Amino acid sequence: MNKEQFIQRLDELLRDISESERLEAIAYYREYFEDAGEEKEEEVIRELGSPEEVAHNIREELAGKEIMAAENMTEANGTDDWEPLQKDKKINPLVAGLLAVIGILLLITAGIPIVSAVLGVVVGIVAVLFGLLVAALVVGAAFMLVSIVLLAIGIVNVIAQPVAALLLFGAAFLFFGTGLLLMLAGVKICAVAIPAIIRKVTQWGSFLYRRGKIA
Amino acid sequence: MVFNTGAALLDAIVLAVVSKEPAGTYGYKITQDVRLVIELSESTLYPVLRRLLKYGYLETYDMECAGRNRRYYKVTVSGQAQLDAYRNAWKEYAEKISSIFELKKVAQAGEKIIDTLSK
Repeated sequence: MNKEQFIQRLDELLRDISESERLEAIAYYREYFEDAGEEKEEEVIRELGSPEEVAHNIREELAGKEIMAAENMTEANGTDDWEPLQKDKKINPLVAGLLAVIGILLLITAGIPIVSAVLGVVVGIVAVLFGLLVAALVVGAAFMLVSIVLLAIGIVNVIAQPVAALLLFGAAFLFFGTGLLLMLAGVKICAVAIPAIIRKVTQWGSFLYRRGKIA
Repeated sequence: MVFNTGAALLDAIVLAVVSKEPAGTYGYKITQDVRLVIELSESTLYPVLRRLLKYGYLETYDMECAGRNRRYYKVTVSGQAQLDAYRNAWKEYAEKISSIFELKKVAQAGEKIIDTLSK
């Protein structure tokens, strides 16, 4: 089929549409062939497909139907573009599975040491704080005990050695004051800091628990 | 191409191609320019040009060239406005689709790990 035959056939096929539409379309394709040049005539005919296809597209558009580029592509190019992509699709779950396995391995090898390290540090800090608290209470109690002993010695010796007894009384009050301060600090920690820490820990616990439920 | 080029997208592409030539361009050239970016049967373009003319987005004028008549297509003012609208719509659409594609990868990896942890 050459250019003239193509246009002739298209002209025949478009007999049923309006005169002006038909002439416009014929003029367009005649011009198209001329712009492509004689040496490309065969190529243009091949790429246009058949006069039937061209006429079909024009009639569809006149009927108000939407023309999609891909509609014609499936006939023209086949499905060879599609194949490699479908292969990719089949590989995808495998890759996903491998990634998941790598993720789990990473979690086990890196996660457990990290979690135990963090836990160790937390336990250590809690233990140190607890030790300080106990120390404060014990030292406070000891100071108060010492102050009572000093007071007793002072009272026993108040007549024999009044100056030494007065010094002992002073030291006793000093010990008593310091001991009281330490005891008060310890009690304060018990009343304020420990409940706060417990609250925080339970909050974390319930947060982790809720996340576990959601997952 | 894997994805369908729908009528609206085809309209937008043709408008964009024609708007690149302020003085106007002709059917064969438009077809070649469009085919640089999307695979397209040559018989598809005439109906698109006809449709854009009907909507008033394109206008034509005839000019003699090498001893014969050639029909030139130009974007009208309303065609330019339509092209701008298409451009914005495309940008929004492309960003949304991209964001879903990127997010999905991250979410899938996360789901896998959570799944294996909860088992």
